[in-house]
Order: sequence, then C-alpha cells, then structure tokens
Amino acid sequence: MVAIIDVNLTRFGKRKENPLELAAEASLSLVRKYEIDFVVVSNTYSGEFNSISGINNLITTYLGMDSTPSIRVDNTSGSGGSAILVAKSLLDSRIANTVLVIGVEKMSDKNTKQVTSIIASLLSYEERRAGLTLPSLAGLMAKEYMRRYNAPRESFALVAVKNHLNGSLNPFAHIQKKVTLEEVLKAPVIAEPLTLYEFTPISDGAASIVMVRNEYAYSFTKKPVFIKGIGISSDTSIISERDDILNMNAVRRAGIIAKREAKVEKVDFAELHDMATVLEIVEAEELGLLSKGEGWKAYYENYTAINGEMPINTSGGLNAKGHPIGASGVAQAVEAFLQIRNEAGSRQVKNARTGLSLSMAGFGNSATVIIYSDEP
Amino acid sequence: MIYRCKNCDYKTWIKRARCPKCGAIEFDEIQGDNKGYLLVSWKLTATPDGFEDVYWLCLININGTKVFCRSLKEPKGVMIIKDNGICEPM
Repeated sequence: MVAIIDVNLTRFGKRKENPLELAAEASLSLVRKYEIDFVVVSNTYSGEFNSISGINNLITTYLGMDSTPSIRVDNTSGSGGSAILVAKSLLDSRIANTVLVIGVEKMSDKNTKQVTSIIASLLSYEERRAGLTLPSLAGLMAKEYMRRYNAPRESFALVAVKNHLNGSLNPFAHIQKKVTLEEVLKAPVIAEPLTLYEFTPISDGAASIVMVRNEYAYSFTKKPVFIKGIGISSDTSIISERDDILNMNAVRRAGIIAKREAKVEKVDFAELHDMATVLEIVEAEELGLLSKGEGWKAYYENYTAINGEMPINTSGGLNAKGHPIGASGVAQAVEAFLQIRNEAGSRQVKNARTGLSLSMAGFGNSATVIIYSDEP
Repeated sequence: MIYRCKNCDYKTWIKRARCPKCGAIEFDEIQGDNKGYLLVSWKLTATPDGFEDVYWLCLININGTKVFCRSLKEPKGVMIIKDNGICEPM
C-alpha cells in the first residue's frame, strides 16, 4: 500500500495567477524537498478554460523538472481521486518511488454561463441540448428527496450553513464567511429549489500531495498518513436512463470497495463531493455515514458538525472551500492528511485517526472513495 | 427518435454502439414518437451559454422511455417535443 508524506495547497478563490503559477505555488516547496520521480497532474478543463494542452509537461517544465515523467489525469470533477489512484498504481507497480500529485484548475477567466456550459459538456449531447446542466440535476435530486422522504426544504440549506461555518475556519477556503439559514433561503434561486449558497462557487486553485510506498513512509516523516483502501466505480452518463435519481450507484460501490480493502467500517470524518448541498446528504447515505432517507435529520442535530458524531466536510467542502475542478479531489486528501496528523487547527476533529474522501465525476458518473488512516 | 435493441427490446433516446443490457449491437430506430406525459419538471434560472435565461426542465415518458427536454412555458400533462431539445404542453 501507499502513504502520503507531505502536502501543500494554495488558497482557493478568484486568483490572478495562471494555472502553471498556481501549480507551482502548491508544489514548489515539495519539489525542493523530495526527489520526485513522477508527476501526476489532475486537471480537466485547461483546454477549454485556458487554451492549454499538455499541461502536465508545461507544469514540470515550469518547475524545472524537465526530465521527470508526467501525465495528466482527466476525470472531470473526480479527477483528483482518479489521479491518486493512478499515483498509487505507479507506486505499487514500482514504476515510480516518489510521486507528486498536483491538482490544478483555473476557471474564473470565464463567466458563469460559459463555465456552466463547459462543465455540462460531460453530459450526453442530447441531454445537454435539452438544457440540462450539473446544477440543474441537483435541483431534480432535491425535489425528489423532499417528496420521497418528507424532508423539509431547510434541511439542504443547513448543509450550506454548516459548510460555510467550516469554510470560515479554513484560511485556504474560497468563501471564509458564515451564512445564516435565512440568508441561504433568501438567496437567488439557481435550480429550483436550491439557491446560490447551496452550490459551489467558481474557483481557481491548486493542491499537492507527495506519495510513497508504505515501507519508505517513516523515513520521510514521523506521521505519514496511509491510504488503506481505494475504490473506484462508474455509472451511466445518460441521466435519463438511471432507474432512480437518488441512487448514486458509483458512490455506493466505490465506498464498498474502499472499506473492504481498508477493513474499516467506521471513519472519524469525511470529505464529500458537495457540488450542491443535497449531494452531501445523498452521498453520505450511500456511503453508510448517515441512514438512508433520514440523512437530512442529522443536520438539525449538528451530527455532521466538526464536533459532531460524524463530521462531514470540515474543510468547508466544495460548497465553501471552492471547487477548482482538478484540484478538489487532491485538496480532500490534504484535509484528510491535516486532520489525521492533528494539524487542522480550529477545524480539528477530536481523535481523528481514520477518514474518508469521495471524489466524484459528473453527477455520479464516476466515483473514487479513499480511506485514510494513521496506521498502515 | 427512440432506439430499441433488436435483441432485448431495451429502449433509449440516446444512441449507443452497444446495448447496456445484453451487449447486442443492432437497434431499430423508431421515428415520430415525440409525445409523452410529464413525470417531473423544475425551473432553472442559471442556464448555460447559448440558452434562454430561464426555463423549466422536464422529464417526460414517451412509451416507456424517459426523455429530458426544456419548456419555455409552464409544463403540464402531455408534452410534445419540438426541435433543439425544446418541448411544450399540448
């Protein structure tokens, strides 16, 4: 198995730097410290957003690592988790010994309509032509969740209140401002019934982690964070062919695989893919962190707060920390690393020894679940 | 247009090279099926580039096949699909 020995990230938000500069900000200190022999870049839309191709090579060149092999991993919003899986494979197969994973995306040069359109390009042509977008699907999911489980509209808004509170404690978060329930509910509607604060902002940013095989981990640090299990699964990208909008099959299956490999049933915290508030609840249910159909109740009881029974998105999640597409899954690993090493500051979960992250592509088109631990 | 697998009758409105249920590669193309009843609709106010600023998204059932479309008028009952993914109440 493999371990994370060091991490770094940029502040997320609207940044003036280009993608190469963001990648360097997140990784230069690591490159100077370790003998990296492979770089995996998690990035999806550098072509569409920045008119760049071959970004992995451009980044290694910018970092002065001209002869270090690199690849780009693109799995849309789930690129980060997929990149960590690829890095693990490179280490397991002994193609590499010390892998740097850099997640980076620069999105804010485009306006909201353009970004929405570019991201919707992961849908089938026919569904995109009908006007479907990723945020719109969250609206459909919220509507169906409320109908089936009698969940109050406010329960989704409470996810945003909690994640913005966590984001306010994270100096790297895009939005470091608390919001009230009333502010969330009164904000402009984006996709009925969900409002502005219930979606991720358009963010720039980068995050980096260094990975090695377990046997070398303690030679680099006294506190490595071990990847005990990793599972990936997929579902159809044709949304209308899914049996049930509330069944996130890829998430559930990836969670089962990761937990089985890790031999872990319960985790101390989780970083989920809350592109929209309702997703956090449904994903938590699919992963067995909350009870099916009753997850919404947890948000009335502070159950998912930092000091709750099952802390979720202590970083602020995509909702407040931001969602620079390629960086998000890597930044989840950064948060897990900090939590398990007891270095998360005011966001620290008490006795955090085992964590979970869900990096998800599209609307559950693909999902990677990773289990982290302080022991191999 | 609906595609029906010649082997197992699986139906989809989005073309595939291979049936996800049985793996067969031949499909019948059923033309002219453009009316269906509304299953669910919801309003979208943050729309992508090149689209209207506000519309209702609709999931409709056309002879057992689920199809997405967008309506510029409040959707209800039986919907008819027009061009470019647009539909409207009959």
